[in-house]
Amino acid sequence: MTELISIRDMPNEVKVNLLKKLGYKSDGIFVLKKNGEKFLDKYTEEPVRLDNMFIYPGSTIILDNNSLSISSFLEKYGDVF
Amino acid sequence: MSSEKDPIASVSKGATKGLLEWSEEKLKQFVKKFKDKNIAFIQDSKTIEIAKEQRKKGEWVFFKFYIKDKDLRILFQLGLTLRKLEKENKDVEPLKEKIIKKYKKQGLHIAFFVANGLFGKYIGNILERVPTIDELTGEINKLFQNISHTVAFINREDDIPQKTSEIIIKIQAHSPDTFIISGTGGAVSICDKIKIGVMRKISSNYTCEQHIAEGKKVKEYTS
Repeated sequence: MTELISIRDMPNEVKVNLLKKLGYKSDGIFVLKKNGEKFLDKYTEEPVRLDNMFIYPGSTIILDNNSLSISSFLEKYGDVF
Repeated sequence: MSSEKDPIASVSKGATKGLLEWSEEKLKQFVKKFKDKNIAFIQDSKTIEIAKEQRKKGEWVFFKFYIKDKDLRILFQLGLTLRKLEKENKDVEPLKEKIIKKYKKQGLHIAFFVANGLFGKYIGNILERVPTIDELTGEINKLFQNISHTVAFINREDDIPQKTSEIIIKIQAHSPDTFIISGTGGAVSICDKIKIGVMRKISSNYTCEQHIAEGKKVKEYTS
């Protein structure tokens, strides 16, 4: 089982640094790909915001933390938490 | 002025404290744990807690046994989530918008069907006449693939004569075994008026049942 770490209190600078270490970037509002394009949630196809991220390990899945994306994730990957 | 009373100084102090708590060393440790697949990061764990809670419900356990379609399974879980959020008086509009954007109006109707507690009632109604697992699976799939043939969701803004006429046409066109007129809150009285109009036209073939669930009102017409 994977432990969930809350980043609610993580300052934005640290979130940007975290994304950098995982191979992504941020403009301070959105998660960006290496080429600077906005990173899109694979289920809603909407840009993922820095202040509402869910990041799962493995092939590093970054999602917007909303019910549709999370339920879709759990349906695909099972009860991993 | 002391820094304790200076709001700007306090905010600045808070930000510094936040940064210190997330030191470079601590972040490195987290990244290592992440790469070892031991941890995941989330802004607010409430979303996952709610999603997991729905996956433990009896309705979900029953549904997932019969239905393997990925999108239907997700919509079913989102229906249960909508019900939970509504019960807690939380804002359901952002989720409804996301469901419509991805699954269109039909997807939202499927989620509403579950959220309004209609799935259990519908299944209870058809269980007697579908003796096998395959038949029940077929009935559930048919229901969700053609949800607009079986259910009308009423809004308080709906035009009563127009909606009544639409429902009569649907019933006459598809002859469903069960047709449900569902409304909540301010739409309940609209449902009553629509029901009277519909029953005037179709009463020789259908009987009428009424269900009230947790403040919700459901009209059901069964042949």
